[in-house]
Amino acid sequence: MSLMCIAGGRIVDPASGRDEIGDVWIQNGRIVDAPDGHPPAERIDASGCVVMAGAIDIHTHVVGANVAAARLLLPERYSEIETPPEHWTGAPFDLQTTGALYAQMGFTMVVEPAVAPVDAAATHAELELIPYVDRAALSVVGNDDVLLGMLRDKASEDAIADYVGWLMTTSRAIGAKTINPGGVAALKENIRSFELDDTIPEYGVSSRQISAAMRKALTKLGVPHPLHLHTHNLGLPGSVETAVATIEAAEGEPLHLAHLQFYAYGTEGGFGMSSGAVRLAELLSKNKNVTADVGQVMFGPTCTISSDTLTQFNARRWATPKKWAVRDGDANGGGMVPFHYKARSKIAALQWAIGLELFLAIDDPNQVYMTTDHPNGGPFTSYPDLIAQLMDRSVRQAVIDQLPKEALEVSALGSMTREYSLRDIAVMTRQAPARLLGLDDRGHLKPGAAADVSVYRENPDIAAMFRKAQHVTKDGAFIVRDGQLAPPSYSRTLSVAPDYDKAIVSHVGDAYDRRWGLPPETFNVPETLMRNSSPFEVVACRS
Amino acid sequence: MTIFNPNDPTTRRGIEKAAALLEQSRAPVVVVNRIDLAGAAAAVTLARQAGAVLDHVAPTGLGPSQEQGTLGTVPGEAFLRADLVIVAGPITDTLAHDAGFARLTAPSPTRTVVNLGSAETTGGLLSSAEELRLDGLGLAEQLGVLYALAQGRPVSLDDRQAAEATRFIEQRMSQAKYGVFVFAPDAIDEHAQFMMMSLANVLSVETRWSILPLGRPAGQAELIRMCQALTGLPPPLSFAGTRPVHDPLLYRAVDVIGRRETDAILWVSACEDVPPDWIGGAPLAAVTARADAILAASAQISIGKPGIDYPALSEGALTGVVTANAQTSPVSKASAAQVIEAIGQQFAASQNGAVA
Repeated sequence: MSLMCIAGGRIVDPASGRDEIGDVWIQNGRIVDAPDGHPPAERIDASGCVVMAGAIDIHTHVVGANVAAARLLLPERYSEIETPPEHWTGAPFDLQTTGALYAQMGFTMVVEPAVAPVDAAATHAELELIPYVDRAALSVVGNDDVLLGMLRDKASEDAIADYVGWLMTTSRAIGAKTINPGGVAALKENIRSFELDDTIPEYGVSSRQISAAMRKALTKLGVPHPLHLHTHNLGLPGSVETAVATIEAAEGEPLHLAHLQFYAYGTEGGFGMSSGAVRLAELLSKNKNVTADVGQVMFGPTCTISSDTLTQFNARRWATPKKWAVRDGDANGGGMVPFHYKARSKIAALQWAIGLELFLAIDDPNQVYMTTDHPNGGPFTSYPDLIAQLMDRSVRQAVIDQLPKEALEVSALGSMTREYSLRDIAVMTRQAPARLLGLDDRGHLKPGAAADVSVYRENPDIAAMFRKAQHVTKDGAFIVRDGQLAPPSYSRTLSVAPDYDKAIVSHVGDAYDRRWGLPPETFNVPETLMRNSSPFEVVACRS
Repeated sequence: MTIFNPNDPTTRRGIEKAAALLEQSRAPVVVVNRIDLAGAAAAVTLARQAGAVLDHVAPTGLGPSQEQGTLGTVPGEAFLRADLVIVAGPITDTLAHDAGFARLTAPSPTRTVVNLGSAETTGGLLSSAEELRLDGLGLAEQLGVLYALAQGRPVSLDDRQAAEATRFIEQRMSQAKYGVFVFAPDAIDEHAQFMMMSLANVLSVETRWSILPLGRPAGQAELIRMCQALTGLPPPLSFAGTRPVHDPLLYRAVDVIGRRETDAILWVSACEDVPPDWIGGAPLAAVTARADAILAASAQISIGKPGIDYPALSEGALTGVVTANAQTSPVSKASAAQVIEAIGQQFAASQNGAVA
């Protein structure tokens, strides 16, 4: 590929310490040093533009059986969509639209955070239909009979690591996610609430034990992404205590907390719910081993999609409209509950405020990640609005002015003056996610990096600026040029392939035989059955 | 590697005829039967290209689950956990041959199977099952009675039947630790499904009840999944306008064809099935694994069977999810996706030629 120069833009690249007017050079799909005396074959004028690495969404539910079930539940919502970004109605986008909308916002990678290993083949077949961006998936582990049986039988840490390694490899995951550890399994035994030290009757295993075993297994395997934990009591007043206990239970080991906003709820105030965001932010500042994505709530209709069947089972009474689907599954299953976050609702207003509090109170943007837990808190297409609310105090004040006063009385948001800089945005949406996933060549613009570059025309309307990138390259090729999408192109799905002892397969085989009468190979994801050639790329584990 | 030679004269002729049929049609219909995931994706793409109506041959029966709450489970969980299984409605051939159904209803020391309905509907297939029958009532009404009783509401039944139904609710269903309703979705009407879901929901206030459709029409899950991935919407779909439209009242293939609103039909079936009687009244092309000629078809292109003649991703009865199925036959045949994509390419080439 010929030499290209994105010239004269404001380069915002925290990894290289650049925040300056300058150039970015690209050759053969990679960022390169400025060559001495070689004119570029193509020069892109980026004057008046901000240039960043491509953004990465580490937690967005875009494919899989639960997303498919949500589409099935709300076909009338999808039919209402005329121009998707502006008219989100709660039904998940189709995959072509998903890729296009991400690309237009300057994103070059998305991570589906909840792939049921038994459904991995179909999920990957969907994932590779998302054009323009790199993809990755997290395997859901922690409520499956194999792991719970191993913990009950006091299997060694090595054996558990082997199982997790096998599962991630066969399901082609970049990390592992544990969702309401133990709680989902307990629901199958008709238990309706589950705390950190409660045990699943059938196994005698607690949530604390499951999370600890998973953290150790991932460390042992050298998987770069730490345990991605959706802990219990999601969305309940008082859940801040669960989050605090979960962080303390990590005992200094690496841990990523998913959609922390949904766990930052205290119980004070006139309607029994208050913000615990500042408390959690202070705790994170003392526990640098812990990262979190926010799961910001944005006002409007949506469909909550989660493999936390315990939470979704209990949430079914709040379905809007009054229809929902909750399904026990092999391991986690799924729950789809439509919901509407109304700005006039005290609770929804407080949820919105708590999310912003977390962003603003957590000092280090390397520890906090921009997500709406799409579509649970709102659609990913609301990211530009969220960025504007973070970067401009007057923008969020305009929202605050529309909200019920009681909600703001139990939140510190109104007193927060911090405004994110472009550097903060670049760290939070580029550098930090790449590091979290172990992607050394993404999230920055240093020589050797993948040439995933986003160019935004500067605009006092920050949301407008981030909604439509001027140019976006993926591996050096334009996917957006002069604001226009290129024809769809298909990139790769990134995954890890940790070393594990293959002897574990016979143990897994026994369990699979009991459940289905089928061998574990049934659930493999063969590359030959994918639509695109070479659809997978392996990310190195740490030695 | 699957063998597919689009230039084989017989195959070529079939592909050209099928493409020409779609191209000359003003209102084509693509009707899908058994299919794998890649074939389903290809069928969606071709239907979009041709501006066709796309549907599965069996009505998808999604209505009740789109109108209320649904508690579901999967074959693996039901097999390991269910202590009470209620088979609701008739046991169709498809259900009788479903491996998951056979496992779940086999005699077991930890599980009771009850047939709700009448002995005739089971065809004697559940010899070990108990039976609950409320005389003179259809399945939906029987489920409705149980639903009312479960909520403590009065019902209009004779004393004997009311007592029997109440006893069944109180002593069996409410006491189950993990109860499962099993049914063939194409064999019971939407009203019955609605009442069954309502009953599962009300029982689940105190204990755990779920529904489990088994013996689903082959290829339906694959088509729904790919339709939604590629368009956001389930079948039936019309691609006649600028955007795909999902309307189960307007675009069910059986109705569109019955109303003679089509002038070309493409039948896609990666198995031996012949098209049902209602497919007719318009020129027909067939992409089929059936070796014998389909007499009504003006073009017939041969494909293999997924997981037998070519490796494929398709739904397994024991798992209820789409998994990889290796080729088992020593001889490879063309996949559904290969042939459908070839028709699409021919269609595009013809259209480009027409424009030129």
